[in-house]
Amino acid sequence: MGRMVSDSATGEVIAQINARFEAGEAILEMAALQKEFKIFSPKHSLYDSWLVLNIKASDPNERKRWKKWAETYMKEKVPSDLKGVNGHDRLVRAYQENLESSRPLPMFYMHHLAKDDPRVLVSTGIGPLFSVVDHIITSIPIKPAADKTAA
Amino acid sequence: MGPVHARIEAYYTDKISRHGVGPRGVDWTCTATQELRFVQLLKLCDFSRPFSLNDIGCGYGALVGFLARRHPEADIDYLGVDLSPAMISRARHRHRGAQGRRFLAGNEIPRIADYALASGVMNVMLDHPRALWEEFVADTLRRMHAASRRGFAVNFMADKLDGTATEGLYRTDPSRWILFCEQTLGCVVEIVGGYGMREFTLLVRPGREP
Repeated sequence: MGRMVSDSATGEVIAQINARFEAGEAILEMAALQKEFKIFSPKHSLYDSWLVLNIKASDPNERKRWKKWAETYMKEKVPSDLKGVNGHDRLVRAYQENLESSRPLPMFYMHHLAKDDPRVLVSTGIGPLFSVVDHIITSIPIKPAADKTAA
Repeated sequence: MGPVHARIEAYYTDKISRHGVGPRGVDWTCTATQELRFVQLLKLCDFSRPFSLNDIGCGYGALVGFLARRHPEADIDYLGVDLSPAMISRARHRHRGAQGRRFLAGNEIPRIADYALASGVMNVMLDHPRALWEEFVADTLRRMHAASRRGFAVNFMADKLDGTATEGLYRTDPSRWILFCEQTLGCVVEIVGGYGMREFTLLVRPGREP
């Protein structure tokens, strides 16, 4: 993302994620899938879990970059708001805990600038601009490709 | 049903040609939703003993891979049938060498098996008139019943909450086909729902003859 994945692939994948986890029937479907198959768990990488849901970039080259971003960069370079938990594992935990809860909330995937906060952040609140219901909001730190000064 | 079968065959041949082997090639969202439907349909089957299974509208044989992972010890004599020769060609290639796994292109169910399953076969109505599509559904259910010793299972998309239609898709109320299976086919029907999708699965077992 940012420097690692193209803008178009990033937008494409995020749109898919937010559609599959949106309020209403979509999140109920996700909860049912989690209950049956344990799609999100420490046993599976985030990239593989998304792939099972057919959430992926259409360009095969971008998919490779996404995989590297999710499985290497997010694990090794990105911290989270939970002490000792890397960004990748924090996201997996957020999906798993929410989908396995008694009342799963819709989930919203967004970004913030890494220079403002370098951690993956998970919170509860109104995510999408036009929504009126609470979401689990996962916010990923990015370093824009054009930002030469970013850490 | 010939013209209806021909339209269905053309539709799915186009799908698999454009998207290749994978859920999109048979019009499903993803592997996970495809397999969640298999879980419901397979509730019909008694895995404690060997059985034969006809998979109607088998596509590229996704059920075969799922059975291998989910029920690796099961002894199943499997026959996949699909209207699209292109689907069957891919299924044969994908599962070449697999014991007890056969695939056949055509609109006939060529043998009587213990069970028959059909996943998603009734959903894509295309531009057929609803009455004609319901003749196709009834015909398919009759043929599945005639070719099954111990029962058959099929899934349908349920009506939306607001009752609106989705262009090209067939949605229905469960009672429509439960009554058909009970009264016309003389079967006992168990409905499976609440599995996170706006649809339902019917597990249909033989009852008294009508």
